[in-house]
Amino acid sequence: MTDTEQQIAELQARVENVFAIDARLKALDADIRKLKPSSGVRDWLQTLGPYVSGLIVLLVGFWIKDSVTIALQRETLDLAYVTQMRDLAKGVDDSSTQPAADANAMWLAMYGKHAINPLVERLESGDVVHLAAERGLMLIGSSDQKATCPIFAALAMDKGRRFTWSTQKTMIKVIGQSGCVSAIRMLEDYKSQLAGLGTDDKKLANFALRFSESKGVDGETVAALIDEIDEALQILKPQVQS
Amino acid sequence: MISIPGISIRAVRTVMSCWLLAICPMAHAALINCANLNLNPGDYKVVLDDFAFASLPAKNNADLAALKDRLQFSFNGQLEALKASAKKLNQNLQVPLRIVTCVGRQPSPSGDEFTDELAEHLSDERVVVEMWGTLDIKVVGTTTSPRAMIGYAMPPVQHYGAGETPAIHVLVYPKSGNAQSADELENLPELSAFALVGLGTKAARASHYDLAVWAFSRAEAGILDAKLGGSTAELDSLLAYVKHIACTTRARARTDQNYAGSLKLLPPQACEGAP
Repeated sequence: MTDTEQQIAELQARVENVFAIDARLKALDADIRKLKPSSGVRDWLQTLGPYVSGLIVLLVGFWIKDSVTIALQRETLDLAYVTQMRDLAKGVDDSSTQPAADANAMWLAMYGKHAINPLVERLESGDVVHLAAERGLMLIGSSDQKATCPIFAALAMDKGRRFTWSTQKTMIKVIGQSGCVSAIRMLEDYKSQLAGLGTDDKKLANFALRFSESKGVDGETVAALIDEIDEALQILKPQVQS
Repeated sequence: MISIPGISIRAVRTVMSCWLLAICPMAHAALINCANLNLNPGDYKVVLDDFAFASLPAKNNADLAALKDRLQFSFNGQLEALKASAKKLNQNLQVPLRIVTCVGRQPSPSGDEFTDELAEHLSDERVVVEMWGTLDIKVVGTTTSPRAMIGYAMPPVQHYGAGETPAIHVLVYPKSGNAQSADELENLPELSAFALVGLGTKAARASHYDLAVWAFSRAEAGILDAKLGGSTAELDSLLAYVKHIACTTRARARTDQNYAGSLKLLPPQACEGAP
């Protein structure tokens, strides 16, 4: 073999070696691609991660700040309501005429369902204040039946010895005048129960235990409650039929 | 609302209001709340409002101030006498009556504040009568004599009577101006009669027949006594109401199967003369 032929043979061997290396590199590349097929999302996340987390921190910060601000504003408003309602309630108590007491109760009623408790409390405080509170409750009831009717019904049927019979009678009146048609069934059931008491002293004494004060509950009480239920039903039933 | 031929009670009350306002320049209406009403829920109540004075001299008059105190003492005595009288008649007949004083409460002389709503609530609170008034002094030469205008409201009668009889009476004392006028002013004989009418009306509604009939019979006697001092159409109407309701109460007692008292023994009686 001549030198020239020997050099060609070496060259050929190197070229073959190069092709072999190239083939191995391609095979390695293919294997690498198989090993990480979905690395795109993670790459995106890794790329955008710092920005996204910054944005989230920013949004959460805003949300927390807004919630705290709103909560603080609500607290401030509640405190203002309490102060204003206290002044109006005092105005109801101290009024020297029925119209003045009524006017203060009407203002108190503007606070909606928040005013129910102070007004119910005033049903058990004398006569002028009682009538004013009754008017205030009717105003609340007629303006927001959905929220107030269940509360009124619970008060009228309360058996927890928290209210006098006169307060519960007034709540029945308020139910009627507020148009609480959802209470019709309840009133009818209550009337049946009352009718069953008659003038039996033992039954009356047992029935009276539901009130804060059982003294003074007699046949007249039962008749008065039945009359009030009848009046309420007279108002409510036509509303259902129409 | 009843009416006498040609004159309605409302018209009489309006004229009376104007007259009272003319002679009571100092008195002003202030129906403040009576917070004591809710106490003692088992008792029937006689509500005593603050007496007003018709003028500054009247307010500064020591005799009138003393009269005010004596009136309250007298009312307590009258109620105790009623309780004792009921007890004497029947050991089981309890008359739980008490005076409730409403300080600072001064209804208008004609009692216009006693609306049907207020009357219903007062009746629910077991008020049988509420009394208010204006005290004045009458000067004749060098002598002075007390006078008063007293209003009586009977909430049960206003609530349950449905206009059968006037439930508000305004009386002027002394009625006759004679020597007995001072006694009359201190005793106010109508108070117990009006209280008994209210009590009887409530007791009848509660089917407490014995108490109701006792109260009506005593009230009838009291109204007849009051008529001796000066009969009025309002007193006549009240007397007719009392007689009628007493009769219907006795009739109910006879037919009530839950009642077994002495009224069962009475013969049936037609209740005529309904107001």
